Amino acid sequence: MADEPTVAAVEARGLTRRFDGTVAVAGLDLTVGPGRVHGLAGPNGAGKTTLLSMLLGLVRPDAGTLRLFGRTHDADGARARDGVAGFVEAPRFYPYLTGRANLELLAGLDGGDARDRIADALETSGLGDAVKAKVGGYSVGMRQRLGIAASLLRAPRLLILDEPTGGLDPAGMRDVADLVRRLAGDGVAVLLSSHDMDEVEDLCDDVTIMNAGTAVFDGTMAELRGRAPAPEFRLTTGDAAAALELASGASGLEVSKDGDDGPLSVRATRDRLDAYVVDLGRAGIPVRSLTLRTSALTSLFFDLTGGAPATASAPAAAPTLEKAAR
Amino acid sequence: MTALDTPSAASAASAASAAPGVGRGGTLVVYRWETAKLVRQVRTRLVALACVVAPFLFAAALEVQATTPQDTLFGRWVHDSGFAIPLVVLGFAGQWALPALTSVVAGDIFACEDRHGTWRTILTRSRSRAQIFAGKTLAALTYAVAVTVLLGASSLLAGVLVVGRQPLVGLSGTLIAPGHATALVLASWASALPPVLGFTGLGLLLSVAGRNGALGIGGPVVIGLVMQLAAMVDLPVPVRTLLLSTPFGAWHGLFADPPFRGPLLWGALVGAGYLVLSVGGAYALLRRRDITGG
Repeated sequence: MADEPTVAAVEARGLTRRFDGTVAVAGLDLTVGPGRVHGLAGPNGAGKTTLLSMLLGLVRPDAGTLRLFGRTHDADGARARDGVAGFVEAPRFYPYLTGRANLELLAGLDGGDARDRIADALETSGLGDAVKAKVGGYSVGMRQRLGIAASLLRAPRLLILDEPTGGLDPAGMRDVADLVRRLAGDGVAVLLSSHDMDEVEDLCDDVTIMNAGTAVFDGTMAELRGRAPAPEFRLTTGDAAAALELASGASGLEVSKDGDDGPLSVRATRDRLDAYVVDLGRAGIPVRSLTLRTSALTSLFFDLTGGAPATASAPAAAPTLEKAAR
Repeated sequence: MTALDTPSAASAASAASAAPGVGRGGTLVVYRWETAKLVRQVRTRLVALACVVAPFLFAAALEVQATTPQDTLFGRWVHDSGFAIPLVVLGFAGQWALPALTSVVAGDIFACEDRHGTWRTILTRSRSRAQIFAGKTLAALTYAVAVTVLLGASSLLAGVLVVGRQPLVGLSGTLIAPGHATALVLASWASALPPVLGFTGLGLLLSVAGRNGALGIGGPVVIGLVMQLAAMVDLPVPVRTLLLSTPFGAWHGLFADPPFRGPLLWGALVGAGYLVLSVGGAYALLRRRDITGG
């Protein structure tokens, strides 16, 4: 029954973990379905890595239940990780061995036909000839690629990725995004943590935003977008005072000044912004630059998480928001 | 990255269920994995090479010098019988070399995962902590036996090739024929295995508890030297017999006439006791540990 496709890849209820009296994860619920890409966002110290560590069996929960494809670490031991792969924080390998040798060792540890997947995993990693070099000389991005290759050796049905694009160049980020989409299309559940809300928006079907160990949002991407405030733009004009006056009293438009000589901060929907820019032109106020300062989702992220990195102290300190119904 | 035919959920499920070793075979898989890893380490290979080469260099050096190491058991016979060479080496190795040789692997076999941060790499595969622990422990024990056998065999070979197969004068003054001397030398080296395995256990315990290879490698050597110092003071006999350094001298009785073998049995029990307690403690520490850093 554990392998039936209808069983959730991850089903966590009331997961709690403390470290030396500090609550890292507090009563968290999480469900990740097969074929879904689930984003896990939150500021530093929100509890994301502790949560992923619990999923991978590296850290034991103090309370709550955790099932991976219906199996638990306590009851099923290592079998609970069957079909589960991924990494928390930066993937780590033996630095005195080459990338290929590291994968060969891990394939030996996995057993089965993991060895047969080495070539494909290496090709997917895009490491090229670097697989023949010792890992000790790898850049962060190269280790990240090798970490993904090591995960693919396990032919995962649940792939857990902690900041998978950290250290990657734009091409690498695009490759990871393509891979995640392809895996999800094949029915693989992907749980990825990220600081980058744009990346989460681009890749994920569902998202959980954590702050101080609790979920301050848990729902679909569409639900999150529905809650998002207007994005914030940075506007530089030839006459800031006139531009500010033009915006005063206008509906759906919040314009403020960043300092005496600084650019204007404009919060508006894109349609409303377009109209404002047209009005500026008609009024003879030149627009010198217009850039996106904070996307809609990032603005919501800041709203939900208090706008500053959390300290992971008492969960009661976290801003609360009722969970969005799935 | 290039295109890849990613595995379907069905094939992945099949692959996952086909992965062997979650049960009893898992320890063997980990053992093979750890052994393959050790073989690739330069340090491990250098130590093994030293075990083969060093006795020949030692025998050659003794052969060319006029004096003999008179203050060492069988030292005065190194020019007269090749069988004295492995016994002199054994007497020397028991003081600190064997604990050091075995600790090179045992003392670092868990700590290296902390140093490289690879616990979270290997513990997220399809192996339980118990299997990882058992496989690594077996690999360390195998290495301990291997270096002891290598050093003993090489010492015997060096003595026979460099000095010759002359009869050996025993501790009671009787002459021991070459065939019998060979058997006694091998038995003497075999008697070193229990304390070697005991020190291996200590290395494993320090490797897990300290998460530091230097502590795991140096700790057993220091403990062995302290035990030897303790044996020199007037400790009660029961305490002295519980010291792990004492069994390294248990072979002396084999060369007496008549031989006495009681210390061999007691040494085996002491070595086993240290091994079981140390390994049990190490497992207890690793079993509940959270992997938050390494």
